[in-house]
Formats: sequence, structure tokens, C-alpha cells
Amino acid sequence: MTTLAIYGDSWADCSHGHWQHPELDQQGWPNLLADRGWDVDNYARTGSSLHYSYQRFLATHADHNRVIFLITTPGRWTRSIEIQGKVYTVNSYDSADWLLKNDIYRKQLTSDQRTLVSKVMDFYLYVQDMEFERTAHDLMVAEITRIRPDAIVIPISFGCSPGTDMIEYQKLFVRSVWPDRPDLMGVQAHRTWQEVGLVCHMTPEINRVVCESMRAALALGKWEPIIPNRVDHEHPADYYVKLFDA
Amino acid sequence: MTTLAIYGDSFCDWATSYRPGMTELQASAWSQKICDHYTVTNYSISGSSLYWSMRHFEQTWSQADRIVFVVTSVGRWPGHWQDPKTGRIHTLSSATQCQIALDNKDWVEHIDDYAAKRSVAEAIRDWYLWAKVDQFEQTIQALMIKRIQALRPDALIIPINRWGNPPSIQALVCATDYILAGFRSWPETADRARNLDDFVALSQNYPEKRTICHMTPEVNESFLTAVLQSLEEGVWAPQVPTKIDHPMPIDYYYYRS
Repeated sequence: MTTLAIYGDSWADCSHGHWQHPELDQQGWPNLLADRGWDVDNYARTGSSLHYSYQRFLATHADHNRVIFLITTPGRWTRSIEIQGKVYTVNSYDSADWLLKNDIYRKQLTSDQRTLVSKVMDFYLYVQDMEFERTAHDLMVAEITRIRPDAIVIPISFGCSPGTDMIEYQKLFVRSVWPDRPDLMGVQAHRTWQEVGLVCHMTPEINRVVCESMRAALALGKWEPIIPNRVDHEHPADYYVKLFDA
Repeated sequence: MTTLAIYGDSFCDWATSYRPGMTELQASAWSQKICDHYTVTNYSISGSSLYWSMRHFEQTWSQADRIVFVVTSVGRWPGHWQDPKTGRIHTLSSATQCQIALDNKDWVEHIDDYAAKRSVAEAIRDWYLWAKVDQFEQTIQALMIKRIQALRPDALIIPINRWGNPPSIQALVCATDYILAGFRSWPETADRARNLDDFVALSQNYPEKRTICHMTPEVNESFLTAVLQSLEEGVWAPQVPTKIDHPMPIDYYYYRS
């Protein structure tokens, strides 16, 4: 069987977006690809940096016939913090702030971890040089495509790498379930809604579309998806997400 | 005359020395003396990161016939401050340098918006101490070197040391090897100048006094010979002398801590 490696962040991590409904894991597009006959090793991890995926890629890509690499945003802090056996990424100022303010996690952090998270907040606020981060990002993307010219490389959002980005599938979700809310098109999702019944940031229905896009890309050898105008959904919008302004 | 571009940090920057009484030494810097042989543009800045040098390199590499690229330490903060009054670049290249800046009232007085800049210097210091991820820094260092070599395969790549560099760079002679050869000329340091680990202790125990580009004039001369020969041969693989003799005792060149 042809083996497929998938690298990326929450857009490819089937455990993301439905913490109260673990059964939805199976609806994530990487698992759907496995259902369609691919022998999938999914190395994606929610919140991870490109450097994390790049390291996993260097260590494992040679074991796989095919590669799908979702390129996350530049500038994520590349380490993670383990809290009581669970790994947390601190990939933005907001996520660091959340970790320190969250009632549960604040108490579980050790003193050193609290200090570290506050220093990471200072890093985002004062130290980070986005031109450097952009350069580092582009160098890693170039190296991925140099090492594996056959890799299907997909940006998660505009500017991560060339090509149709995963946000286009988020727009498909908005078009499909809120045809009367064009204001939700292209929003920062994490500031707009809380994910309840999503997998990889997408509804199960849209994951099926993504699965077909991935299959086409693997057959074609390049990422040129044709995204439909809308997709029928089994449930109303509030089954999948809770709007903060609702 | 053939044009030469030099990129790097304090190992090639003879112009920005912050210690008093150093100006007479500037003429003995290898990166100054090489001007007798080439028409030189020296882009190096003390304390700068590899990213700083690479940015200048990307804008200018095609303008020079020959390139000497001195690869600085891994993991320096890629940004910089420019003093608006003097134009001087401050690089904050380590936690220690950040602390020195924070403790130096004369220096920070020049900086506009003192409180904000102080927060930045503290945050950068703490990034070095807490948040810097060595593996990421090493990955990007390797990719930047690869990029430089891809643009100019003929560039002489000279690492200042080996720590954290990719294997292909670790295999090269580094500038610090020449400084160690200098330390081998004095009886009191000869046995303590075997390798790069020794260099750390030596540089702590013998702070620089009469050096330029971190090298005594005699070491600069030997290093210059190596660079010139390598430019001629097109490859950086010099034979480092076992020791580089000095006419004066060690106290002339170094303090004792």
C-alpha cells in the first residue's frame, strides 16, 4: 500500500475542534483519506510551528511514498509546554495570555513554566522580528520542496506559501451555512466563533470535500483544488460552532 | 583592482570598537589590511546576527568579484537598534550584552523613548535566558548558509566557531582556531589552548586589551595570509599554524580577570 505522510497544524490534526465529541475524529480529512485506502501517518499537531513539522518531516519523509504538507503561519514560538502530561503550544501572544489567565491551567503550571510563558509573551511583544520569521519560514518551505518536489504543499492562510489556502474551505463553510451572513466571510475564526462540532477547523461535510481535493492533488501531483460554491450540511450552523455575537 | 565584499560580525568589523585606545590597532586588522590587495566593501557590524549579514548579502552579492562571508555565532537576536543621534547600530547579541546595555546609563541616554527601549532590552535578555529555542536557531542558521552558498558558490565561508553550526561548517577551520594558535605562543596559556572548549575559559580569563577583530595584530596577520591564499585557491581550507608567535608578553595584549 502506498504510504502517505501528513504534516501540519490543527488544519490536519483530527483531534482538533470538538473536545466534547471525540467520535468526530474519524470525520477529519486525514482519517477519511485512510478510509479511502491510503496508509496514512499523520504527524500534524494542533498549534504547532512550521519548524516542528519541518523537523518531523526531515525525520520521517523518507519512510513515505507521498507527502502532504500544510504550511502554518510564520512566527509561532517553536517549543511546547507540557502540563500534567499534556502538550500545549504557545503559538501567539493570545495563547500565552490565555494559558496564564485560564483558571485551570494557571494552577497547573509550575513556577518556572509561568515565568517561561510570561517571557514568551514578552518575546511576541518586544523581541520577535517578523522579517526574520518570514525569512526563516520561506527558507524552510523552499527546503521542503527541494527535498520532496513531489510533496503537496498547502498554505493554511494567505502568505504561508503560494496556492489556494485552507481558509477558502472556511469560506465555503460560511457560504454553505450562513448564506445571509457575508460579513462572516474571511473573518478571524477564533475571534468569531467557538468550535463545537468541527474537525480540523471544518465541518465533517467540508472535510469530505477536502478529502476529495487531497485525492485529486495526489493523483495530479499538484495542489489545484476546485472548491464548490456550497455544500449541503446535515445540521444548522449552531451545531458546528457557537458565534460569539449570537 | 578586483572587488571584494566582506560580510560578518566583530571578527571583520575593525571600525566599531567601543573600547578606548583601540584606534591605533585598526590598521592592523586583517579586514583593513586586505584593502592593499582588493577594492573592499566591508558590510560587517560587531555583534550582528547571521540574518543581518545575509540580508546585506542578498542585496549586494552580485556587485563583488569575490566574497568573504564570516559566519557568526548561532542564535543571535536578528534585530538591532540604531541610535538616532549617533547612527550607531546596537545589536544586543547576547544576554550579557543586553545587561551591559541596561546597566550603562551613558549609553541608554542616547536612546529615545528610554522606558520602551528598556523593556525591549529586558525582553531580549530574557529571550536569551528563557525562550530562545536552540534547535530552531540551528535549523535556520544551516538554511541561511545554504542560501548564501547557493547564490555564491565561490564565497569563502569562514565560521567564527563551530557550536551549533551544521556539520559541513563544523568541518571548516574557524577564526577562533587562529586565536587559539596565538594563545599557544605564551608559556602560561600554551597548555590551555588545545580546542574550542579551552577558548571559552581563555576568553573569560584573558579579556581583550590590544586586539582588533578579536585578534592580536600578529594573529590578524596570520589570518590575513590564510584569507588571501584561500581567495587565490578558491577554497577555505588553510593550514592553521600550530602557534603564532608574539614579540610581547601576554599582558600586552590581554587583561587578566
